[in-house]
Amino acid sequence: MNVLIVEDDAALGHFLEQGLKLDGHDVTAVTDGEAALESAAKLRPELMILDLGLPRMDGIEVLAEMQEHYRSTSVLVLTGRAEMEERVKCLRLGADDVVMKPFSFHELRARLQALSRRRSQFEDPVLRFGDLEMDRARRRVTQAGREVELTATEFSLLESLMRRRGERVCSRAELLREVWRMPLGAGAIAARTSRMDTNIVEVYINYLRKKLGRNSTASRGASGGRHSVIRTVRGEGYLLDAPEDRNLNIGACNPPPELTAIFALGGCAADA
Amino acid sequence: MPEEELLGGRSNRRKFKQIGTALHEMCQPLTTLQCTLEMAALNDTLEEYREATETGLAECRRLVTLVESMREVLHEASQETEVEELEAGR
Repeated sequence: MNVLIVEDDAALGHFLEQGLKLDGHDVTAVTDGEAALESAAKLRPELMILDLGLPRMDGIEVLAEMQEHYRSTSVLVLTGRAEMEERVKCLRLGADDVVMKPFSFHELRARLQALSRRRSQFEDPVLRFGDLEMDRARRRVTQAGREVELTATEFSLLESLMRRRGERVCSRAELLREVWRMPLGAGAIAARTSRMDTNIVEVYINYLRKKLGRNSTASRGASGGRHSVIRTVRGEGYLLDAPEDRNLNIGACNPPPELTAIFALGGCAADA
Repeated sequence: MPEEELLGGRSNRRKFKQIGTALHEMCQPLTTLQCTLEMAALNDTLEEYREATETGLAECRRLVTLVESMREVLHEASQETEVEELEAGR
């Protein structure tokens, strides 16, 4: 999920940024209210984590601005104030959730997942990228109009890549978490140490490359050689790649970024 | 309303506000401390533990500073109360 953290406390802001990155989110952090609105305009985040006591512009004002201009961004408010009236005011102003400090990071993660589930209800079940089309409701994938048979794991893997629409690299840690349901931290640790269990990502990426390359004449490059739909970004992860000479339809019928679901819906441990 | 009660009410409100502010300020380091320890419990390398310990100790220092300032507020408040009680007795 594309997350914007607005927290003026340096230590807490840093911790949240690192913790959510480790959890596979794409995170930006700012420390004041005005910077929050500037970043919201530029990044159009799916979620804003907003502290109330901010310099330059109070969190309540930021919340009101968000409600007026960026309604599609979910806002989770963090507050150190105990008054019930304030929590009610935040919710009435458009906050999707309010969490009181001190809070547990486990609880924050669970609330983010709940918000993500709610957002996913508004998502188009069909993902499109280039000549690829994935109907998640019918569990069907086509490439240039031809059906591609995928196992459950391959389907989940491709879904994780397609949800990022070639705009953002999907790291191995993210794939381990989303597709193979590795717990928090385990994916990152495993990815760093390159243990044998992480080979599973490369193995399945290769399976997908073979299936997607084989079925598509459109996926051949201009020189006539095969173009891989999945590009490896060294040291970073994987990215869906659309060659320039193709008639692209990147996300044409997809929802705007702010309504795109976050977590893999069909993660699985074993193939069908 | 008698003047003493009015003054006492104002004084109490100020104390409540000061305590509320102090509690609010304590929430920041306490949150960071709690989250850092939770994350550390999920990690398995010495480096990650060391990093979590350093962050935790820094937040503990912030908490100690806040506790000290709260003590000062309480000390001042108790002195004010003594004066108010003496004046009320007179």
